[in-house]
Parts: sequence; C-alpha cells; structure tokens
Amino acid sequence: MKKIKLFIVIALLGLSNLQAQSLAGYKIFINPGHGGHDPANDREIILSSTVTFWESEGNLTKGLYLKTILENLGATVIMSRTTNTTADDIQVTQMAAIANSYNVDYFHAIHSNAGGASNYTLILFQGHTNEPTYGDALTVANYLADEIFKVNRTTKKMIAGDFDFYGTGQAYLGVFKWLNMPGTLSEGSMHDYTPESWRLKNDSYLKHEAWAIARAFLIYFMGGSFQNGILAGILRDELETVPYTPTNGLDKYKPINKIKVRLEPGGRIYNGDEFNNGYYFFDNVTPGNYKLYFDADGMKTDSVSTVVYANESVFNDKLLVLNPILDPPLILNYFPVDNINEVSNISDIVFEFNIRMNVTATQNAITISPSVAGSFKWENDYKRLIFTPTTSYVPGTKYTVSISTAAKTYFGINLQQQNSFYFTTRSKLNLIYTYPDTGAVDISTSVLINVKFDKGIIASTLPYRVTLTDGNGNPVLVRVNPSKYSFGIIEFEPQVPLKNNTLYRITLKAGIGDVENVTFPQDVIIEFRTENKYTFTGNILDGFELGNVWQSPLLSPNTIGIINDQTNFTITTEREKSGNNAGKLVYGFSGNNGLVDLALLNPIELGESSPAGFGIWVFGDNSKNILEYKFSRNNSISENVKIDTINWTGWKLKKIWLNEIPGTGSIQFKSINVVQTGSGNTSGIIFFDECISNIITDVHGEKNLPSEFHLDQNYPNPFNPSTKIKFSIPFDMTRTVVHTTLKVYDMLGREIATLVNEDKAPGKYEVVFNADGLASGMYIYRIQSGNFIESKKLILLK
Amino acid sequence: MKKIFLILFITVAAMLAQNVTVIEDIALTTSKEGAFYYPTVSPDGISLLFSGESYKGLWSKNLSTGKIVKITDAIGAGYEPGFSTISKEILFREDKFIKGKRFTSLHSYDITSKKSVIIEEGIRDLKICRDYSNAFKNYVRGTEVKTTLKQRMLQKTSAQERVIFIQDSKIVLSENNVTKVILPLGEGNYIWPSLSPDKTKLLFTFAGNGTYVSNLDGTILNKIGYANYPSWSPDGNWILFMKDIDNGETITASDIYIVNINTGKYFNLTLQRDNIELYPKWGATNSEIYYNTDNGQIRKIKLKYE
Repeated sequence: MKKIKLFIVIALLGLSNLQAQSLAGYKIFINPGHGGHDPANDREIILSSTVTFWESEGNLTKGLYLKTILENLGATVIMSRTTNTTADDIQVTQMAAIANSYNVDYFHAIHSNAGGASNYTLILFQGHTNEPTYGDALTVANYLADEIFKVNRTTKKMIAGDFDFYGTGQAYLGVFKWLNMPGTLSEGSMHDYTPESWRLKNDSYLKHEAWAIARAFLIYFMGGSFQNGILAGILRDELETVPYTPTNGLDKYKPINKIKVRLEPGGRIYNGDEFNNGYYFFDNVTPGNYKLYFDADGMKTDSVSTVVYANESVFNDKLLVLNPILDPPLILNYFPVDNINEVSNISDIVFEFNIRMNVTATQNAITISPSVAGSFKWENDYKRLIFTPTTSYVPGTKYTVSISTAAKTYFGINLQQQNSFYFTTRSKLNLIYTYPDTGAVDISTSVLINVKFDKGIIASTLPYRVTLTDGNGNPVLVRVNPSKYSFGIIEFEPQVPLKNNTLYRITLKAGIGDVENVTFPQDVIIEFRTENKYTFTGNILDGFELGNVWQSPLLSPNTIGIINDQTNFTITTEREKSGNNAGKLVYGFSGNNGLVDLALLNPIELGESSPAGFGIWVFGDNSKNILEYKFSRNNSISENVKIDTINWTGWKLKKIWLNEIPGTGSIQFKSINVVQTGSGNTSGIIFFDECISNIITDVHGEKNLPSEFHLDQNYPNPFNPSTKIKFSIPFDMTRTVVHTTLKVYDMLGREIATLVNEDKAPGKYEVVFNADGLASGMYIYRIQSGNFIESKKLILLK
Repeated sequence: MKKIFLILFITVAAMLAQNVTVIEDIALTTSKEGAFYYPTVSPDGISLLFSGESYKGLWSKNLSTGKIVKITDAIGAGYEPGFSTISKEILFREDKFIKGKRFTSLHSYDITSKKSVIIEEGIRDLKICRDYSNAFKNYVRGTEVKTTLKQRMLQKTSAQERVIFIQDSKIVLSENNVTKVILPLGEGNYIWPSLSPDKTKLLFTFAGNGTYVSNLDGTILNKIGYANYPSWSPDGNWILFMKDIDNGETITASDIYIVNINTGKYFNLTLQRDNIELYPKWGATNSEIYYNTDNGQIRKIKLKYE
C-alpha cells in the first residue's frame, strides 16, 4: 500500500512537472515594429478629435507585456525598442545586427494590420509559404495564428511567406532578410477596422495578444503550458448602434465605457476605459467556476456564471439594458451662447441634456425664428442634439431659438419649462492681417503674399478684387494658391521676381465674399517696398539637389516637441532659388519650445574663423519662429547660433560671419534648427536652397556700405564762406570703383569749381566747398558717378 | 633601405590623399549563379567569400581564376566567416536549432584539400573575433575567449591577442584572458565593433545613435555619423560604411561611403548607381571594396586616390 501511495505521489509530481511552464535558457528577440510616430513607417488612425491610435503604441504595449511574460518563464528577451521615440527607432539592418550578435534563438516582430472592412489575423515569415527559409518559422507561424486568432476573435487567420505574400519571389521583409535565425511577424488584427481600432486602445486587449504569443512560444519550445486561464469579454448597449460601418456581428452595438466588472469568488475588479471598446479582462485566473457581475453608468446590473480552464481564454460578452430614469430632463448646455453677436452664418445649434432623449419629440419641440432649413443629429447616447442649417443664416440678423415642454426623455418624462435664447449673425467679412503689412520695407523680391480674412473665401468673388501692381499701377502677374481659401487665406506670389528697391501695391476691393455669403465692406490698399539688390561671391557646398545629404528631422535626437506626422523633410521641385530642387521642411510643433533639427548626415567643414560668411537661402514662412544654425568647433561640442526670427516670406540669404561664431578652432556646420517660441506658429513650411560658404560681399562686410547713390543737401546752407557736401556711392559687384565728378556751377551754367574728379570706391564721402572770392547768390552743385547724375542748389550769403 | 623609404612614401601619400574617385564598379556574380550576400576577402586578396539569403551556405570565389566553389550549405555559415592568418583555411559556423534552441559548431575548411573539420560543437553563444583583414584566430564560447590554433593543437598556448567582441550588446575587450567591458556612450546596443589595424582604436556603432571611433578606454575620438556596417581600411585611415534607409518593411535606399578619419572628408562611392548597395568590405588594399546589392549581386569597386 505504501508503495502504491509513493507511486501516486511520484506520478502526480511528474504530471505537475509536465504541465509546469518554462522557457529557461532561451533567447528571444522581440521587435515591436517601428516607433516614434513617424508617418514614414508608423500608422495613425484618428478615432475622434481627441483620440488617435498609433500602431507603434499598440505594438510596443504588446511587446512590453510579452517581454514580462516570457521573462517570468525564464527566457532572456531582447527588445529592439522599449520606448516610443524616434531616438530608439532603429533601421532594420541595425536591428538584425543586434539580434545576430546576441545569437538569439528566435525573432518575432509584433504589428497590427490595415485592411479596411476586414479584420483578420496574418502571420508572415521569410520564404515561400510552403517552403520557408527556416522550417521552424512556418511551425511557429501556425501556432501564432491559432493562438492570436482565438484571443482577438478576428474573422479569419492566415499564414504566408513573404516571397509569395508580396509577390516578389525573393526576400522582401527587411526585418527577416538580414537575420541568421528563424523569425515571424504577427499582424494580430486590423487597426483600421474601427471597432478593432478602439479595442487596440485598451491595454488589457493588447496584453491578451501578448499572452497568445507566449502560448504559441510555449508550444514551439515545448515549454509546457500555462496553468491558469483568462476571462475576457465586451459589454455593449443593447439598443444603441455605433455611428460607423462596416461592423461584424455584435460590433454594430455600441460598446459601453467606464464599465465595472467584478469576478467572484476573489472579488477582483476590472474598471473599463473610455475608448469605446467595452472590454474587460482578468488574467492569471485559477481554473474553476466563477461568476462575473457587470455594472455601468445608467445600465441595469447583470451577471453571468462561467468556467475558467488552464491555458485558455474564455469570453463572456453581454448586451446591457438601460436603467429607467424618471426625473425630468435638464438642459445642461446650449450653443450659441445667449445674446451673442458675430455668430457664424452656418453655425450649428446645440442642446445638451442630462438624460437620453426621445428623438422625435425633442426635435419637434425646437423652433428657430426667423425659420431656417436644417437637419438634426444626435451624439453622446442621445444626450446631445445638434442642428445644422442647410443654408446660411441671413447676415446681421437676430435669431431666436426655443425648445418647448413637448421635448421629453427616452423614458417619457417631459421638459418642465420652455427655454429660449438669441444670437445675431455676422454682417461683414473682416481682414485679419496681410503680409507684407502696409509700409513694410526690405521685402523679398520672391515674396509669398498672404492676406487673411476671418472666414473661408469664395474663389468666384476674387477676380478683379485682389490685385498686385507696382507703384505706377502696372499689374504684376501672380501665381495663386487656392488651397487656403477655405481658411480665409489668399496666398499668391509674383510669377517672376519683383524689382529690387521698388514700391508695390496690393489692392483688396469691397465685395470679396466668404463661405457664409458675407462680403468685405471697403477697399484697402497695402503698399510695400522690396529689398535692395544684394550681391556677393561664395562657394556652394550643397544645392539641396540630392537625397541622402540631410537627415530626416524625425531621426535626429535633438528634435523635440514635434508632431511626427506633420514633420518631414524632402527634396522637392516645388520651388527653388537655383538649380532644379530645394529642400522642403514641413513641421508641426506639439506646443511651445519645440525644436526641429535638420541635420546633415555628414557635417560640412567650414575652416577657421575668417571675415567670410556662411549662409543658406531660406524661403521663410513668416511663422515668427527662430532660425538657428548649429556649428561645432574641432568636432567637439555643438552650439546653436540664432540667425534670425522667421518674419519673412520669399527667398532671403540668411548668413553669419564665421568670426561671429563663438569659440576657436575649425568650424563644422552641422544642422539647421527651427525653434518654436511662444509667439511663433506651431506649424509651417520652409524651403532651403544653396548652402554657401566663403561669402564675401566687400572687404568690411556690406553692412556699412550704402545701398544706393545719394547726394545730400549741403550744410550749412546758406553758408559763408564754406559748406560741406556729402554723397554716397553704393557697393556693386560688377566694379570696384566708379569715376565720379562733383562740380559747382553758377545760375548761368558756368563751371565755378571742381570738387571731385576721380575714381571712387563704394562708400560715403564728404567734401568742403570754400566760396571765398565768390559773390553772394545761388549756385548749383552737380554729381555724376557712373550713370547717376543729381544736382542741388546752395546759397552763399555774405 | 630603399624599400622601406618607398613603403613610407606610399603610406604618407595615402594619408594625404584628398580626392577619391571610383574607377570601376563591376559585377562579380550573376543572377544565374544565385543571390549572394555579405562578401569577405581573404587577407592575401585572393579568395572572396559570400553567403546566401539569411546567411545560409558559404561560397568562395577565386579572384584570380574567377571560379566559384560552394563550401557548405550550412545554416549560419555566412555569418562572420573568416580566414586563418595565412589565408589557407576558412573558418565558419553552422547553426542547428534543436527544440528551438540554437547550437553552433565551428568548422575549418582547407582551401587546398577542400575538406572541412569541426573545431568545436554544441556552442550556445559563439562569437567570432576577426581583425580588420578578415583573419581570425579567436572566438568566444559563452564568455571564454578561445583560440582556434590552440584548439587544434597546432600551436602552444601563447599570449592571447587583443580582441574585441559584443556580449549582451556591450563591447568587450579581451587581452591575455582579461576582459573589460567598454561602454563609450553608456548603456545601449553596441554593434559592429572592430579594432583598428594597429589595435589602438575602436570602431563601433551605437544603434539608433551613430558610428564612432574611440580610444580603447572608450574616449570618443570621431563621430562618423549615421554609418552602418563600418570597417577599417587596411591602412587604418579610412572607414567604409553603408547608409541604408528603410520604410519599416524593406530597405528603400542605400549607398556606400568612405570617410577619411584624419580629414573628415566623405565620399559617396555609389552615388551614380540606382541599386541599393549594402554590406561593404575592404579588399586587401585601400583600393578595393566589395559589396552586395539588395537583390543579391556581389560587386567590386576599384578606387583611385589623388
């Protein structure tokens, strides 16, 4: 008997060991896809105005959960990234190098997929579907497909080799191609199937997929199976359906937010999220009989009995029923605000109630005076009613909105009293700003003119109402960007560069109309003057003609505070200062103090400090952000140097003299930075062309040289016996000197004195005219310098 | 004496060279022969090794006769193979996955007799320590540095050379069986480490950050920038690397560059080509570079320094 007992004990121990799960000694590499919210390799699903799903986030969460589960099983887990930043988002060749150098036993990449209406599970591996590069990868793919399909409850599962799936007939997926071990890539479900997109926002849902992957690994590595099970499910509203299609099965019913699920025995509580998935989840549940209790705001409590099995997931979905409310409804809010003016002529009218309302009765209880046609829609579980006019309101008109006591709740309780409010619609289109502003000077000859109104513009109202002319009224041909009319912005630029140092005029005429049939009331003229001509010599280091010279700002560790999918750099033919292309930097900041770092893949050596300059042609966006260049000296610490506030549009050479760069030693140019300030725009587009070194404008720099010829009035005047005459000769790259004469004549045209008769370099000059021996009276002094001729009068008074 | 002077002159001329031009870029394999990757040249410049997809198999091409010989079909054989210092033997690995667990054996292939012998097997974490010329005598089993010569009893134990390898993403320097972990940029993933030909400097890539040259104590000397799969030129003055860009699914662009670490001057060697050029390796001299295209063609670049 004793012997038999001992045998039973040994047998039970043996059984226990067989079931005990372990991956001790295994090395597994987990790649949770690309990260960093980079639209080039990440996928974004916008679910509402405040909620976005990023594939990189879902993948990483699954990966981190999987890492914990596998490590608890004794495995060594190496991850390609553990955060979701651009900095740790490495190239596939680097990832393979890490996995190879670790000699890992297996590689797995975690993804979700995009497939529109469908929602299926896909596992990929290298090779042909029936002839994988590594046979083990096919084996694991089947295990993964089974396990993930079960927990994500997708419509189907499939496996494929990348040679066949992508139709290339050879290695395609970069994550496999450079590895020296078997690997798989799981596309657990479709992140663009809307019910699934919302579920992928739930941490527990992601964790469940991690458990599924771990189960597949246990089978493959013969590591036993999990001794506990998982309980999960989705709670939905039995009446309300979701406002989107397509949906499969129960997905048409609206999931309930903020649910509370209690598991008994044990008292474990699961609190649901607000991401429209209704998901609940309990893991590590000892096998046995349980009861789940479901609670949600406004719904009747429900429950279900269930059984948990080892190494399995059991689902209990429920359609919950509304809990009757017999209180009268309250209007919590309405829009537009009472008695407000300047209301949009196409504004929605909104009521918010505290209780789900009866649709027909409530809509019929609303009147608007004067009457206007429109349509109703409901949101927030039939608690928010929105009226949208189908035609514009009459401009400058007072409207009265009323809701009578006929409005009632879903449960038949009427509104206790009638409510009314008023609003007055807009009467005119307002000009917000222009660039250039009136009186502006030093404007680029390739200026991008920007006129902004307070409403979207109707294109048909613009002809002959917006013009650009020179100071003499001659029209300038322009190129117009109509894509911003809907934002109230008229953006145009000259087809050929404007003349330097010339007055131009933008005319906006009354009658420009907006999307609400409101018009601009009066004519406005904006005058500006273009910049002086600027000439220099220099060496072009990069013409922004080729890729692979500048690094994407998303890859720079110095880039901070940006919105990834709004930030990129490309070489484009869209516009250029010279050559065929220019660099185009599109940026979006997430708040203040962000920085976009557009770095050279390899810094450019500029040499030692010298009077020469370094500059880049920059087509500004008038964003009021800061333009900085980053330099280092002797390849050591880098320093950002502010170049200018970006308060212009059109091409301008933005330069710095090398001797203005702090420090000593040889200088390396490393990057262009755009820095957001509190007063700067949070998005914009800047173009760059021609990185130029060794800029030489004149011996001392052009800053102190006159930009045009000028003859000053003599001083003093009248005078006796001497007076000073000043004149200026501008810098011109086409010559170093210009022959100049300055002579004095009497009123009969006879030459009295020659004050200057020689070649003069650019600069400012002053000569003294001594009139000793001349009679009192009026004289004329005349300068001729190259083609410039000017005369002025002077008076000798003895 | 005259010979020494000539050698010195050549060395100095190479160091001062400022401009590099590609004088030819030719295919060494055809698609008919197969898709090949990861070229490696013997120290004497005669044998060229390359592998198949995913490091499966190993082939040798005699650069004098042009003849290609398959050495093995073994899994993993193309991952970091090397030569004995006199280029007579090829050392390669073979991976076997038993219940999903990788076990590696180390093989030696005699180029003359075309026969392989197993040096050691059942290794769980084999690392091969090659020098700049693709020769190797040492490998790491677990954390123990071993010499292939000693293993085969061809030579008595001698002072162990200075070698470098990656252990758990950290750089490990081993000399005379004393190992030291080097983390020039702190914790992170270090890949592609190599010692300079004079074994005084270290070249490595810090994943997600860039490629660097440092002293053996980890002090950074040069930042090369985004530069993958870097390697030292035979004279130690140049770094060869690839700049590959991918979109998360596949590599979309890649070029091969060299940079002079004394002057910082970069040269794109494949700018004129539309191919995706990857995994470059120096030949026996500064004038030859071998690489593979994304679709598996082995090519050779010949350079001229002016």
